[in-house]
Amino acid sequence: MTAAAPFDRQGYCPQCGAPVVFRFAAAHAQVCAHCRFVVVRTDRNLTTMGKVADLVAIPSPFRVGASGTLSGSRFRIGGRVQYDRVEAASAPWQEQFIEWENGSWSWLAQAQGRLYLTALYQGPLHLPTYQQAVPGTPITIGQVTLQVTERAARRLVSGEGELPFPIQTGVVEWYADLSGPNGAFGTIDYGDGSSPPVLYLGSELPFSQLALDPDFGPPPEAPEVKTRALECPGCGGNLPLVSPDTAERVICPYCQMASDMSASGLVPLKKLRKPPSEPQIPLGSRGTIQGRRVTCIAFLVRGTTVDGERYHWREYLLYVDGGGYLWLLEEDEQWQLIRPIAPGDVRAFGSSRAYEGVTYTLQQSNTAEVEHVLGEMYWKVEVGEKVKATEWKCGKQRLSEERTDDEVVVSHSVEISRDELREAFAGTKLRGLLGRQEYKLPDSFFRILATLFVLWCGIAFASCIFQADETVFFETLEVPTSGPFYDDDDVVVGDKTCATWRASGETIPAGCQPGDPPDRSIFTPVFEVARDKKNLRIELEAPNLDDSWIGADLALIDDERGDVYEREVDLEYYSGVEDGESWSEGSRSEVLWFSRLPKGRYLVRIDPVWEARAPTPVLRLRVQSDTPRWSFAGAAFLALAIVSIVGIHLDMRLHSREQDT
Amino acid sequence: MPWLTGLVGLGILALWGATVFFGYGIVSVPNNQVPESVRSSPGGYRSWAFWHSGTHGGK
Repeated sequence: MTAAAPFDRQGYCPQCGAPVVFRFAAAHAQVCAHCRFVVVRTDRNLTTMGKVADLVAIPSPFRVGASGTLSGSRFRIGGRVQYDRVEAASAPWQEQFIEWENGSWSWLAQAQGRLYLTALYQGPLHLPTYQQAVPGTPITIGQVTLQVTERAARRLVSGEGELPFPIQTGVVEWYADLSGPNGAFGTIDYGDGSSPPVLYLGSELPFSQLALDPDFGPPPEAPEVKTRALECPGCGGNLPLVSPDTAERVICPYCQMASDMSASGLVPLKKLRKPPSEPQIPLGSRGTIQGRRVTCIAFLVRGTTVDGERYHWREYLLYVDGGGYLWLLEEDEQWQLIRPIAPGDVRAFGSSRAYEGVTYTLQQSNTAEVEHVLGEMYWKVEVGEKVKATEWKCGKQRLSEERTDDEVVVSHSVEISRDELREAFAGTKLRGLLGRQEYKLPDSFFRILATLFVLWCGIAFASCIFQADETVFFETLEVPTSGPFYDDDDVVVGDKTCATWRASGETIPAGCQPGDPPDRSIFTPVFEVARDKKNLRIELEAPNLDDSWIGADLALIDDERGDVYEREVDLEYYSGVEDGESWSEGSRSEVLWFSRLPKGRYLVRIDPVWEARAPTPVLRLRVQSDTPRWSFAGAAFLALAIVSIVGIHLDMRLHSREQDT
Repeated sequence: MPWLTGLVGLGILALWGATVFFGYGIVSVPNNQVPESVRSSPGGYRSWAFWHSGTHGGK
């Protein structure tokens, strides 16, 4: 676009005489660059309409006179107006008056990292009154239904350049912002109420569709975060503000003094209570979340009461480089990343909501209240501030709506893990559970446990392969049923042999075996144990034992050396049927183990006793040499498991102690 | 801590290995001795006097 357009109108400022040029056909007023009087173009001449205040310094990539391309169309910025809210002043914003190559014009605004382009809608309109335009009110324009997202009063602060209509500073005007599907955006301008409302309709655009000509400064999509430090009026502490252009209220993290932003600095309001816990992500922390560089600028604790119980959660406001905000919400150590979305992109289906093709089910609706706040906020946050919060859920994604009488804000959130957050804020000393490195079993632990398990398997395998497990004796033994065996029949005690003493019926003297009880001991034949210093397994079984018991003294006798290894064996076995259920207890066999026996000849003596009513027992004896002992294998495995668990537990405690220090 | 766990684990495996390869177990100590005279007497091990005097098991 050239500087000398064919529709240029030239003249002189009626106030100061400076030359003024109306380059845009659509421009009906202009702020004189020399005297700052508003010059109005009429059919016949130029007049003035009062003076406007000096411009407020609002950092912006847009400058009057700049040109560029937006969504493929060429434009030029003719002028700009600056507004501020009536209720929550001191956070002015500006809107650019731009003219397209075809002579039409639009308003271009920038907010929270997004562009809003609107043009005057000239079709038939049935607009609600300001009082009727409560947030959520649907307004159908042609085929598109938008809803009111915010209504407020604004005051014109200043202006510059050419404008589509005359402006007057200080005049309070009313407006309502609208949001529709696919980025549709609009503003109902009620003016000062003296004329019918008009609608500016357009859409929200990404910065990527904007290209300013190089002569007019850097591209707007890559502004760097410029921190501006202010002094806390409460404690004098240094408050580095990350987004001073949009910050409206600042709560000092050192003394909790709440202050409002003003042109001259911070204006103190009052001291707030200290939050019960430190933010896990310290204010000022820089990180990268999902490819976007962010700075944590504020921390809120909010709460709600459900069924008489108070619930709390914590929110972190993240300023995104280049403009815009994200939120992190933490409740019960579960984290969500929250992204504000256009309310018009959410469609209602009864109590459900749909967004980007996903249907969300209503979860809860309650009143959320701000309890504590620290840092810099883009609205005039107050402790006790309440919103009606409604939440819809689909898997790990949620939609949240926060509604007040004058505004509705909708956001989309998705769960984010602590690990992702730690990675996002790598290099920042995080606090709380987020700051703790979660315990991970060291690789060396895995290797050692795996090695031990492999060794265990190896020993078990070697036990199967190398142990002979040789049966050296296996026989069913005959238990003597009557008559003791006497080996002293020929021994002479006193004047008679022992046999004579027993036969005489007289008292049997010491030195002779008494006649009662009978000796029913059993001696096995001698057997050979060929393997030296190995274990020996002796199993005594009574196959006909039923509802009775057998006790036995068992002695393993080394036939070569005379060594006797004596043990006791107690067998008992009972069974029956009770209430149709069969049961049994005890065992008909018992195993004895002998370790590291020298090789040689052995025999076994068994001296059994049994219940008088029971039949004479049948005893079966099995002797095995060098036999795998699987109870030891099980015990070793159990011991390894216990040692591993204890080792891991101690390692976790050590890790925890290191984290604490 | 992993190395201590490994060390104790190896100790456990060594104990078990000793039972497998060297026949170790709960120590088996002879608790009596049959004298040569008994072994060579008539009846030998069946000597009533040997088995029915002193302590022989707990029956």
